Amino acid sequence: MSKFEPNIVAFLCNWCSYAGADLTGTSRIHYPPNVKVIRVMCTGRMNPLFVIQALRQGADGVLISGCHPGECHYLKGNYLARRRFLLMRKLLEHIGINPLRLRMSWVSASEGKKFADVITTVTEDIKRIGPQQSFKREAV
Amino acid sequence: MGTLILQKDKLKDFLSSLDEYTLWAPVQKDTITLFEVIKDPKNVSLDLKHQAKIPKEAVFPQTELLFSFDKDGIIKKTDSREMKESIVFGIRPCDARSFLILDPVFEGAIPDPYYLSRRNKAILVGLTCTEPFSNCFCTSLGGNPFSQKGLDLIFTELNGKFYVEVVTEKGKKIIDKTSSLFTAASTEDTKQREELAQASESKIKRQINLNGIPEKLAMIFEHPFWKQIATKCIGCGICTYTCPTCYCFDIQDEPTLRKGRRVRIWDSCMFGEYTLHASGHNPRPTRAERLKNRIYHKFKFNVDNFGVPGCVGCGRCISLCPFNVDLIESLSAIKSIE
Amino acid sequence: MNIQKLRDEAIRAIGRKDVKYLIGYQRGSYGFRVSPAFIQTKEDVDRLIFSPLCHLSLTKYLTLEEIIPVSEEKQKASKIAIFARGCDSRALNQVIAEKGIPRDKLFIIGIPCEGVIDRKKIEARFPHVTDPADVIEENGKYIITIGDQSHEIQKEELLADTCKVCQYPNPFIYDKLVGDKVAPRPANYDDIKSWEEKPLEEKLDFWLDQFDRCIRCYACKNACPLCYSLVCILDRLNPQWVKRSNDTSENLMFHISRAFHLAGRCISCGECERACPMDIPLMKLNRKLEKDVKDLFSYESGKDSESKSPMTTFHVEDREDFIL
Repeated sequence: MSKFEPNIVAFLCNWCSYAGADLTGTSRIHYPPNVKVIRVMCTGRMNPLFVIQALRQGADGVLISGCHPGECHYLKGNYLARRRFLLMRKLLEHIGINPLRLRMSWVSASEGKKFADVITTVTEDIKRIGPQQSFKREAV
Repeated sequence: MGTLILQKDKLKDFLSSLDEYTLWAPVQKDTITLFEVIKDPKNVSLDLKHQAKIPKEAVFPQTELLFSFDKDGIIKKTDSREMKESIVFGIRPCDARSFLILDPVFEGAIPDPYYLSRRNKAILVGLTCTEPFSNCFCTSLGGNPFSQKGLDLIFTELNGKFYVEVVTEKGKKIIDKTSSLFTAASTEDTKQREELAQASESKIKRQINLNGIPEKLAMIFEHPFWKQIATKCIGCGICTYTCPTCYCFDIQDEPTLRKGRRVRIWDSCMFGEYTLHASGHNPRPTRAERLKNRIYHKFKFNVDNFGVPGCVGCGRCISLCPFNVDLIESLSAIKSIE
Repeated sequence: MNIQKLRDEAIRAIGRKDVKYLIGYQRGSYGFRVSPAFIQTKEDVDRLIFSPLCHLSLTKYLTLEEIIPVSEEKQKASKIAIFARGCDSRALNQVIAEKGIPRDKLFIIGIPCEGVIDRKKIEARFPHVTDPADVIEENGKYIITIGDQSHEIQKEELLADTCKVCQYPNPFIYDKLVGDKVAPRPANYDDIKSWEEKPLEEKLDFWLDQFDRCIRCYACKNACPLCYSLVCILDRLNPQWVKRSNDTSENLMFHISRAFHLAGRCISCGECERACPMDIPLMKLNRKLEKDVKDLFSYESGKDSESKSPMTTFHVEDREDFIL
């Protein structure tokens, strides 16, 4: 029986989390290869449509990662993302999508190790709860 | 062609024994009636309340896959030749007449293979209408709650049994396959059916005389009346998507990175972007023009092109419109314009 | 509700030099139906009604693109008069706050509302009614007159579900108020809370089944007083976020996106659910977000015309226990 390998899409903010992820790589820290990274300039530009679309196109989970509160390159993008993310997660839980599939983290540019830990946690959680393909797009 | 009796408790046997056909039938789901393919005939619902889904979907589905493709350019067509024949059961006589209105549209100069292959493989089995709804006006359009037009077989519910009329050879083929379940109809049965037919026709409360409407419409294209009548309309697509004779569609591609598909989908002339040109110009910019077009299409253009109004009087558009845009009211108003 | 007082106020409103026309309610074309009325003359005013059957959210017509032709003398008028119940006034406040309509373009006749009848419930109770019907409310009951027959039904049996939990029956914003204030009902999210307890699989099965039923008629979006974008993002063809094919996946995308766009904005009028021809319980989605926005951000939409949306504001101390 083949082991389930989750498909996780991660939206990383350019200034902190993306740089942090880079650092993880250059530091040669291993982390699960299940993540597909999409760079956004700030978590504040995250559109709820991205999240649902990702889940519909084969993702078993979505991670959004940004700068720590107070450190956003654009001052308040992450504060807004924090609010919007929480509501989106609650709405999706309301229709039956496990909240463990939708995660958010603060990872700064110097937190290479933390990024690896975040990815490991998210991947393991989703491995445990299984795949989510019930509303996959017909075209995919 | 013949009249027969099927005991009510034998209906499921009748439908189950025809398992080499795809079965479309009305199904009760909470407070509404859906019309869909069913596997288990025991789910068939004969109580057709609130039927927003229409039998038209059996031959003209809302979403139809034309073909799918992948990055190697290989095209996998949906081969309608391999489709099973279908039995479409429980069609009200108004919806049955809609097939006759749709046929000339799709059989025109360039025949539509997707519609035609489904249509030719479909055996239409009707259910007479003993409880017309508040907005039924089929009799104003040459229809009748017990009409056989467009059907291959028609069932009437009597006490504990169905009175079955065989209308076409296609219908007879089905009866021959299941003949052991049927008995002959008596004169008493026929009399009962007649009585029900008359009672049903008298229950239809709303009427409109359509004489002179196409001629009147030819004269009032620029009339300010259209702006008034359309103020209530909010521009949704309920009237078009629940109409048995609407047939407008769009063809869209749904590509992803490595594969995709081309689909035909219903479109609605009531949506703003229906006539939106690539230049940004829209010849029907407001709801007034769009509502006007809908009425013209059904009551003038269809008459000009095919000889009949593009309406069967099912009344769904009136019952389901959330803001009470009433077709009968609009037609009456048109008639009274000087 | 004294209909004569309302009509007098309507006459005064359309008599004003700066009011183009009045949007109110009139009897519909059959049975229990009610239609919006666009009133310009004194004669038109006689058509106005106000009864428990008047469920429509008239505020929708302020943001639709039609320009209604008016007489010569009203060409220069800048305002539109409108009847607004409690929920309608919240919609108006919300749209004004979002700069959708300027406040000085409106002349609002506020009407405290005792709740409306759900048309689907009354049509199920009295099927096949084409004769004009009237309903008045008396002592917790509805007196329904159809032709020459009269029936008495308990109010709660026919009352719209959103009205059963209505906390704001009195208008927040108005230029004139007609009618006595109505006692609000207490907030009640018990149905949402009990849904939250259910297992995930059951919830997903239920909702996928509901989304499967959707025919993408967009009646919900078009009936909603707060969905007034010139081009809805879910309609756009370029980029096309939601395909027009109506399978479960696309329908889910449409409904979740729409619900989320209404987060912190929905005023719980219930029109979306009432307009839906497939009886999809849309308010179950919208009220969940309404409850969450209230609990998490202490915000309820439409209480004034200045508040900023909770989605465009923040507190440094917002919850973040869910963040890794």
